[in-house]
Amino acid sequence: MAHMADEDIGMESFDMSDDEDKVDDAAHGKLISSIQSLDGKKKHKKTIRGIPVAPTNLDLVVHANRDASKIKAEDLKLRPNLGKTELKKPMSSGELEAAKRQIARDSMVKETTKWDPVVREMRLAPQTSYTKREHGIALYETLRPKQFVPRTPLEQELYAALGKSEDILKPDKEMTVAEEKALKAMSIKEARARRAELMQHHELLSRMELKAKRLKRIKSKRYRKILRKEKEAVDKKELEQLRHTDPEAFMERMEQLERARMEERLTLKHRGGGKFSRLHKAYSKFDDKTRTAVQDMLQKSKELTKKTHGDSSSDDEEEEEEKKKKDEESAKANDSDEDTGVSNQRAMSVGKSVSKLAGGWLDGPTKFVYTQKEAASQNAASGADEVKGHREVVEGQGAPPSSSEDGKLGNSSQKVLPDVNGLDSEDETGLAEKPTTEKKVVSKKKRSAAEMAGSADSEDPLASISTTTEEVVVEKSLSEEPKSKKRKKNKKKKGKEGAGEEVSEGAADKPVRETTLQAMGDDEREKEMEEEEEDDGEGSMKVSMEELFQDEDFLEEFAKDKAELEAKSRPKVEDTTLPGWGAWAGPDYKEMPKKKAGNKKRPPKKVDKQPFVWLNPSRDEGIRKLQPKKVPFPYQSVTQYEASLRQPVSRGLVRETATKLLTKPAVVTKLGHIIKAIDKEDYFEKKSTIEADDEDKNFGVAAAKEGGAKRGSAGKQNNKRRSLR
Amino acid sequence: MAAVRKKKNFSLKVLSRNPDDYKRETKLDIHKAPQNPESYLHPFAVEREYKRALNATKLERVFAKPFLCGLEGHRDSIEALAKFPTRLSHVLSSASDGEIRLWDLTTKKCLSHVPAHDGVVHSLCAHRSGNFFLSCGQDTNIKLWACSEEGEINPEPVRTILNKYVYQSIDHHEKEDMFVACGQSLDLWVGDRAQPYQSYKWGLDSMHFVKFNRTETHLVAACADDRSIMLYDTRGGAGVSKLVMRLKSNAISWNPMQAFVFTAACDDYNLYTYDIRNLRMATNKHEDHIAAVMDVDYAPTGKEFATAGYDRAVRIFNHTDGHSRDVYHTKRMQRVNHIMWSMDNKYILSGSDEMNVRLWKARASEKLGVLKPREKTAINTAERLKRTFKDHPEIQRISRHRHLPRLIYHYKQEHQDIKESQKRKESNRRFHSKPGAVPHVPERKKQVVDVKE
Repeated sequence: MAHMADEDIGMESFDMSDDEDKVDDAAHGKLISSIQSLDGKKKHKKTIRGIPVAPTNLDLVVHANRDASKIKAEDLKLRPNLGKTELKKPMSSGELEAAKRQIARDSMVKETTKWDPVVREMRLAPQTSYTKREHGIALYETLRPKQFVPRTPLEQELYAALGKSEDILKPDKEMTVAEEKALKAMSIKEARARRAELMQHHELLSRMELKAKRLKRIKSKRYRKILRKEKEAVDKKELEQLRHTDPEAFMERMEQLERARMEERLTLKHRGGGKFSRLHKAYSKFDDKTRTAVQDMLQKSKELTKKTHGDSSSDDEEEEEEKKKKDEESAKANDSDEDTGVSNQRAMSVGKSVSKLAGGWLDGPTKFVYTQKEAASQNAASGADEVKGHREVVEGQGAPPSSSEDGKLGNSSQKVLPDVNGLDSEDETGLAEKPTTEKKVVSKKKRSAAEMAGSADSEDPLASISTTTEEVVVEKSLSEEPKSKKRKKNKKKKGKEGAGEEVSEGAADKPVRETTLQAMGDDEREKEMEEEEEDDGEGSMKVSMEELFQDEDFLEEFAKDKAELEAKSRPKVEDTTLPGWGAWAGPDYKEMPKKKAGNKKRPPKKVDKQPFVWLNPSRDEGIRKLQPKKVPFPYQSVTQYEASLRQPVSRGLVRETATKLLTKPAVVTKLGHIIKAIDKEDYFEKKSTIEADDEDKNFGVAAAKEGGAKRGSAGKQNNKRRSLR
Repeated sequence: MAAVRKKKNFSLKVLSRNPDDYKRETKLDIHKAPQNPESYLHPFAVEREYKRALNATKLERVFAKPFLCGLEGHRDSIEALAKFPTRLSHVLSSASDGEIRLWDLTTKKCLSHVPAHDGVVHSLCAHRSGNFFLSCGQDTNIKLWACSEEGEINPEPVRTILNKYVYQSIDHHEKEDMFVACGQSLDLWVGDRAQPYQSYKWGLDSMHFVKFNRTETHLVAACADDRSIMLYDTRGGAGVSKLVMRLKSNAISWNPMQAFVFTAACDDYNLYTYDIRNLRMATNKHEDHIAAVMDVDYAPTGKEFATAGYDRAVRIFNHTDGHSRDVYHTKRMQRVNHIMWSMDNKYILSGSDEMNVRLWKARASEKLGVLKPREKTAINTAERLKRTFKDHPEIQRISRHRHLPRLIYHYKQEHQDIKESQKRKESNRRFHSKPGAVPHVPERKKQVVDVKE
């Protein structure tokens, strides 16, 4: 029944398309519905919003013709009924719809799948150019949609009735009859007067506007200046008036002015960076007045920008300063000597640091140091020779001995020792100021010695050897102990190195032990030196590498260092597990032996393939931040990705033509060029256009009805569009 | 007297070059700098190029000023935007007060305007010839308007079609003189008929958006209020297929270069790209909006599309990417309801609630106007370098950095949290239930409720 009702509505829609066969059906349907409603119960209808169309078999035929193969044979086969020949039951409307949809879907899939190769090509293309596509020059037939034409008798009747109304606009006229009448009702005089008045007003307004605009646009500096001056004058006058009339307001005004002035000061406009002041500076070469003005300005700006110093320095610092001053005064007397001492010391410290860098082995042969000391003492003796002596120190043993002292030096450094002492004694007698300078040298030396001592064991023979020089000087300066102690105190106040100093002091306190150690070392060395002397008569200081590295096991040391560094670079794991449930955690807690985690085997320790190489893992940390963390999408391996980066494309790095090829943009469009959607006709041949042209040209239901059986209606619509291509 | 010629007893070799090699032709030309491209002379080529790419990326962000102008004049919120198939500079817009305006983008001015309908103008579309356009409004009428080449709209409609009910959306066929309008049903008008030539209906709910396929021109896609997207074939009387999703889709756009692909802007903050041959699973899911997506329009190249969001932002997606490549917003822009990509692939227009049509650049840092050849090569090289090094973290970071309104910024994070927690929950459920009881459903499939055939 519901199905019938649906049919009913469908029939109505077909009434409009004046199909005469259906009228009877409609009447029939009505009759049936009236019979059904005879029993008083109204049949519940399914509400459908909109205009449904009766299902026609037409479309089924259309699609079936287009793609006949898609209808399966089983659908059409008759059931093998034994002996009986019955027609298949007609499809219900739902089934019919579904079948139609199936056909439409199949044809759609088939049609769109044709595009697959085109789309794939487009997706893979490195460059797509949209500039060659033609645009809007397709000519359309002169298209002027027609006015509404009344067709049905009802429409015609209505149109005729409305046509008499005055309010309808005729296609060839500007106004409706009613509007024209209304216009005529107003007297011309009145209208004109009103209009003139309006015009006048408009003109006035627009003139004012124009004037204001013109004034606003004036760029003349002179005009602006005059304007500003005028304004200022007016302001001044006003202020003067205010003074008499309203002193309060006047004060307020003045305050404002003052504030503005202060703000200007705050902006630091007067620093002289402006164009004006720069010009003035340029002029100031020639003009005294401007020069002074500029200077004044700068002075002012300095005053403005000057920072006021607070009393932040502590008492200690003051004391320190005072002491420093005193020291300076005392030191001033032998300025030159001190300079040499300092320079020597610098050389010393440099040497020390170099030796440290070299792994400490440079410390072994103490000759360098002795020569320095020697040179220092020499400088003390003869101030003029200082530079030369310094050089010698740097050059080391390579230089041939010139003086007797140098000669001794060349022979053996150890032998110099007593000489140094002797020299010192001479100095004590000869030069009164000497001790202070020496002391300075000593104290500074001590500091470096302390550093060494702090790092290494004090009892280590090697360390003691390295510090021999210092000790020598310490012995020498023992006589001036109190003064030097004072100095140390000062240094302690500075707090640069407390512990190191103490150690050095300690070393200074026990000179006896040190000397013995030193003597031991000295004896050995003396022997060596003597042997060497015998070997090569010239007394060259050549030492073979083996001899140099004799005492030290570098491989072992390196392995130790490596292990240390590796341990440092590894993340630290702390065991923070606590006793679990059921375990005693109170007093007398004893740590239980840890359970081994299941059958998990620890991975075997990696064999160090390069035991004598230490690759610092944190060396490239800075650059690693800038590198991609993983291989980006289309690439399979790091080498592949790196290869993609390795090809330069910029202008200077490859040839011009290569640059052009490599930097082709992915999408090329042209300015002001309409990009049309991809056109079917460009890619696939238009099928049976001639056929379409031959067929009936009036398009509509009737045409579709007739032509539907022959072929699809799509082709027919093509003749509507004629384009020049 | 004959000149005495001295015999040359030595020859002086002088370095001489052809001046063409080093002299510039005109004063305004650049100095020629001979360069040797041998690779061994440029050991740091990669490093230099990386630096160039980095600088180019930075400059891109410096010059990223996408907003061009606002087209002001409407007195109510924008209801529709439309472009002409044959004109680049003319654009139509309509507002809730029933007014239609025609804008000239070159002068950024309104050329003409007509009070078109009583009440809201629901939809606009241009006629295929480019000289007419259609509008449908709350007054149930469909009107055909004529406009001159200069952009003057004839104040009287050429044709008015009176209907029984309101049409929500209208679209014109690419090549033929037919158009579809949808409301209670999907109606197809052909020629100058007063009644629809064909009427389609599938289900009881009304439809609110309709669009013709621009290549397979007989295909029509429509969005209905029952959360469905329907495909129709204008050659037949019935639909083709119907996809029901979890939430309603507001608009769809066909890919102009791939006949079987369309993208739907959905109420669930996402966009879904479908292949019409298989609607059971989307081919791509595009996330990033933090509110319903109201409209979507493909670039004419088919490689990108722009979307309008209820979250007051316009976003641009590459059609293959899951996340947007750019986001546009201004302080005063309210909910964006309509978006349109110009046909020269250069501009984007957005129509929003606060009565403004805005003009944006499609690529934020692109230089507009005619480029010199040298400029062009420089830009191409920079583009190429940016592409080569795009995966380096620093370059990626700079190129992806955007200043977002606080609302979007925070909501984005919130949504991220929500998604994560949902994922976690699902994985937990899977972990604690029988294997196979909680199946893996791909993200692209989750939104599909049903496909009716």
